[in-house]
Amino acid sequence: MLKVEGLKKYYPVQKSSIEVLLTKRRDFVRAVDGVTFDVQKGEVLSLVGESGCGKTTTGRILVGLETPTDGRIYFKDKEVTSMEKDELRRLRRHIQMVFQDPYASLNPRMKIGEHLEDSLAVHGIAEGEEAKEMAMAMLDRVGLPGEQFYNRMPYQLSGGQRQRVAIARAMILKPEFVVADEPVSMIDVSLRAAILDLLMSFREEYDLSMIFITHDLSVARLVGDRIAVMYLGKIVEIGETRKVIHNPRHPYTAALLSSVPSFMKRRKRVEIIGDIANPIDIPPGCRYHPRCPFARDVCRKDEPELEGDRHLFACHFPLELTF
Amino acid sequence: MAEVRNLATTIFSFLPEAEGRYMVLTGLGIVITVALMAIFAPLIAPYDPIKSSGDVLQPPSAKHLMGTDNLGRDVFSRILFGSRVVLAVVFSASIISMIIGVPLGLISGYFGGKLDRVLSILMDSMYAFPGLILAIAIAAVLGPSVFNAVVAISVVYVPTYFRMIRGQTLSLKSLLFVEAARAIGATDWRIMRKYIFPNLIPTLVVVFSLSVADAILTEAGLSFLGFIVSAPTPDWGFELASGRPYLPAGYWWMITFPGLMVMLLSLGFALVGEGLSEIYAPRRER
Repeated sequence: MLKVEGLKKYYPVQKSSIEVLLTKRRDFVRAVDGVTFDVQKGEVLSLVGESGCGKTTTGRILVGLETPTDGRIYFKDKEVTSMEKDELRRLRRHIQMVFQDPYASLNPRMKIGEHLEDSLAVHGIAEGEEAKEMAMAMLDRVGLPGEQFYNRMPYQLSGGQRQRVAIARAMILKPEFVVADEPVSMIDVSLRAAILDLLMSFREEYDLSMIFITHDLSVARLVGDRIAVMYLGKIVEIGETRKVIHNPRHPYTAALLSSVPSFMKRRKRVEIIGDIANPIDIPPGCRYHPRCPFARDVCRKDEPELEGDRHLFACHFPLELTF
Repeated sequence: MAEVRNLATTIFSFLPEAEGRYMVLTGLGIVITVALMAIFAPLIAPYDPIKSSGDVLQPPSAKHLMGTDNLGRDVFSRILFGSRVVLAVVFSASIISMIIGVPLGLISGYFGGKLDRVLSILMDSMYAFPGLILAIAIAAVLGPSVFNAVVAISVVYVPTYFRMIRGQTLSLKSLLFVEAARAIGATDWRIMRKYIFPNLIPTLVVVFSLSVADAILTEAGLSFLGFIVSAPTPDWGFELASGRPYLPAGYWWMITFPGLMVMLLSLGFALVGEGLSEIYAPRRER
């Protein structure tokens, strides 16, 4: 359904004027630094990692909000990265996004109903009365009765309701692929489950493929068929949710898992040292080694490849743990 | 423009509760009064503004509220009819500047790149001229007429709209809801029309009233120099010019009343603009 090969996104670093005069070197933030994965029809892939690991940038590239520095994206075997602007725009009907911040993602001067109708109008699906009917039906479908909500303005809605509108706006196009960028991280905890249920109900109805971006492993294990763990612009471990959660091979995955608070049992502790490195100065060798309690000499020199069959990981000394 | 705006804020800074709404209400009061004067001038005016009443250079009295000029014409009546010219010139000029400046600013800010650079440099160099000087230069080239004055004044205020709208567009286009519109596949044109422009309207209202406030002064300047109307037609700036030679001899009313009207009307628009911007974005701490 979707295939990503060696995706890279580098941003040039703003330098001070003195640095510009004195050095020729241009620095780059390597936000996404060679990411390869695929998503099958109807599958949900969770993209997990700390802030700044490049997961959001990856999602934004997939929906066409950023152009990659390098790498290829195939959607249904067609290469997206070489498409013309207009063809890309039409493709967006099939690849939709739900953003993290529902307070900023709606136009403050547009009615709720218009947001949905705009999606339809953009792709010439329906207009006028027909569009209004479809918008009404979709509002009902996401739990915001159309009669009540069609004419409201965004500021009259709560965060949870706004996120429902954002989901409706994407889903009214009947997309085949959705990138959900931390769709519940800014929503009250009490409402998260309902929003997740809503998203997953569309997954069943449309047989959606989805990339679910989150920093929260406990959410990822609920929604994802597979989990991909990102660190400093690269995937360090990817595999079926069950396997990654219960039998993490990469020390970073294990550290993330042991940092999830739990009432049930004392988890095994896997330490993580210090803070995430600067994506301008990515450490040589394994990029995780400065923070890894198991790092040895090899890790400081050679960068491990992402290897394995179905459950892949990039580590010289993979763990043998069960959680 | 700065002087009128400062005056507008200073007057109201004495009121402890001087929220924008008092400024707007006072300003609107002034503006609406003058507009009514202009519309109903033939009904209100006690005399014909162009015909002499026979009594030359009479001081203000019950018979002639604001006195008479050197040709015996009633100053009050001339001010009433003069407001028609002032409002017509200033409004049409400001609307033309808006029609040109807003789309240019929107396109320039939204697309950026080379076009933006060229337009910005062009507009900034126009903005660098003192408004009145630029207007005089254009009016001098085109020749004196009401139409040419409108053209001259509208050119002067295009950069004001351009700069404000470009700046706002730059900050709006990076907001998430604009990204979201791009993500659903909206075209640039649709994004500008439905997502950016409606969010510019508050700014536009403020810029419009402030630029009208300033254009009133520019219009008076042009008119004073004789670039707008000629001999019998009344216009405030023109009255100032014809009254000026009589001031040293003590005939103060010929010049005082038109001058006050220019100031008052400009202040009215400035109050509306400043008050609205206060309401939209309160910035003074209390």
